[in-house]
Amino acid sequence: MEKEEGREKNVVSPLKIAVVDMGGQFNHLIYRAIIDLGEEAEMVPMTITTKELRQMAVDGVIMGGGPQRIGDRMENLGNTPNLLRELDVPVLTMCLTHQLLAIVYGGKAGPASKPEFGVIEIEVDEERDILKGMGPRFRSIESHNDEVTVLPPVFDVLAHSKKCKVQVIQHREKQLFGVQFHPETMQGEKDMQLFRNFVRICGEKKKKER
Amino acid sequence: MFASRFVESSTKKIRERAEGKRVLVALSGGVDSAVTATLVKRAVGKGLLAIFLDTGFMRANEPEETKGEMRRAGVDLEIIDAGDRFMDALRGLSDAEEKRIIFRKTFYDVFGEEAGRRDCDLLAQGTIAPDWIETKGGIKTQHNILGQVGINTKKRFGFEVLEPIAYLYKDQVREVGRYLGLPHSVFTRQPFPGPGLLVRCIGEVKKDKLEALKKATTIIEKGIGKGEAQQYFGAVFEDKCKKNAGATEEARKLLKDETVDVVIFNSKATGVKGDLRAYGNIAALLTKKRHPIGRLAKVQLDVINRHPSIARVLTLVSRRGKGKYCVAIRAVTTRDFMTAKVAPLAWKKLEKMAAEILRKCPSVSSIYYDVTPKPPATIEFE
Repeated sequence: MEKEEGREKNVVSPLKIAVVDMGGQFNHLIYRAIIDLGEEAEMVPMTITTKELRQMAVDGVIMGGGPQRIGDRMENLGNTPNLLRELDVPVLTMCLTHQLLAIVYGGKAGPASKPEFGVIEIEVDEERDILKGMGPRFRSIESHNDEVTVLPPVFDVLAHSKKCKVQVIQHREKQLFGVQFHPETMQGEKDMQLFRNFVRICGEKKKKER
Repeated sequence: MFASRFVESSTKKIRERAEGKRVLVALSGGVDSAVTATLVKRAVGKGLLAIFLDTGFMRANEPEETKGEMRRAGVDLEIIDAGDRFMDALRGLSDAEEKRIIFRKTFYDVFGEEAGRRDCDLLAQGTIAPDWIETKGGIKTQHNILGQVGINTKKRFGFEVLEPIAYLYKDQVREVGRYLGLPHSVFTRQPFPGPGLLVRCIGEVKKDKLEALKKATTIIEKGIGKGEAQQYFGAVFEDKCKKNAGATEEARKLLKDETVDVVIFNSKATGVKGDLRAYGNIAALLTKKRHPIGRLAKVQLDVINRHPSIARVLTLVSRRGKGKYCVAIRAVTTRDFMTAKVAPLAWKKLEKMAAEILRKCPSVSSIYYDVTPKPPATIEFE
């Protein structure tokens, strides 16, 4: 079902999405979500370069979470800070890499005043782009000790929760998205919609460039 | 669609790897190893040997029942009894990871010997995605992960490993099992961990503790249906705990119930918080009122978030004066076992199971229900 829907919307299907392995528990579930939507996915190491991803001709990149902590000393993040600066395809980041995205563009991230674990309700402030069809609120799994504490200047916040103000961020010009939660766990009823939205965004960009 | 495509490509890959080799299959009777055995049989035909290793941590009558069920599924298996060997190796160990690592060593020592005796150089096993993800991520050592963590199986145990379903999740394995024509009871069977009851016998393994767990397991598996939860089982641990004043105060406030107490046990359980392993104490809510399970699950979240040393929260179902062990009932709903929700079982059902366990297990003092989802807990206790 989901597969046909995906293909119908995207005349450019199948799209090729790279999933960067950050070592998190749910990274491989991102790969599965893309396959379940009928698109192509490939797991790539976090040391991969922008040039290599261009050679693979990927239409989008997703970066998952990982056990690394973010803050003053950032280690074991591979080449991902550079990828976030250089890539010109749509990029979706989650949890750890969502925090990293904020830092790379001049914001700040660090220990959360109230860490969130488990299924949490998220309020949608702006129902557009990556959050299309997900308002006015949805539930998803959270599992984080850190969070975005200062928003980078060129980003908007699209959603928040009771304990965490920055749940979803989007760059004002580039197609860069960050979510603090884990839609790849598919525990929330709208989780798959987020991947549909990302695939749609990647498809539209590919179509435009043809 | 997915299943037929997978079976086709997987058969081809197995044939390439196993060409001209004698293959030994490690078969537990669960859906993962049954699918693996069937795939290998399709690919290589006759040269297939299947072994069920009885570690002593099996459920009541499991070896014989599995043998019958697998025969109906078209696979003949041989039972190797290594119960004493596992018990000797594990004696005195109480740390969850130490237990798992010693279990792994003993398991593959035995398989190495059996493979050598039969001249097999390839061991096929039903490793699936959560196994290597959790092991590589340092959450817990799944016993079947070897090459992925740098263990050279050829050198150490004398065989290479074949894992045809390593990139699938449980629901996908079931789909493949159905497509392959396995009996309904096999492809819908609830998961049972490789180390079996060992990881549900929390802390040090003792004979009477394991016996109580076996009885409780039979009662719980009969008492809960497949429609209510994807995995349901019991665990046993020592009844040694202390009241915690801080957590008690918080729980009272959250539940608006002044009769609630929170106790913390000496026993420890495994969890996963923010992609990191957690190994902390088991806590329990002692309530006189029957609060809805969903509400208790919310209080659980607060207790675990505020107390980093706690990794698991239970709620009391029944208690009597004497007995040295506690039994925890666990039941979760999940698609892929990477995350899981607590099944909102009815109190009546829990009470009924508790009464039967207390009646049949004199060494058990109290029965609890686990109200912790994954994350921050894992599904199993260790």
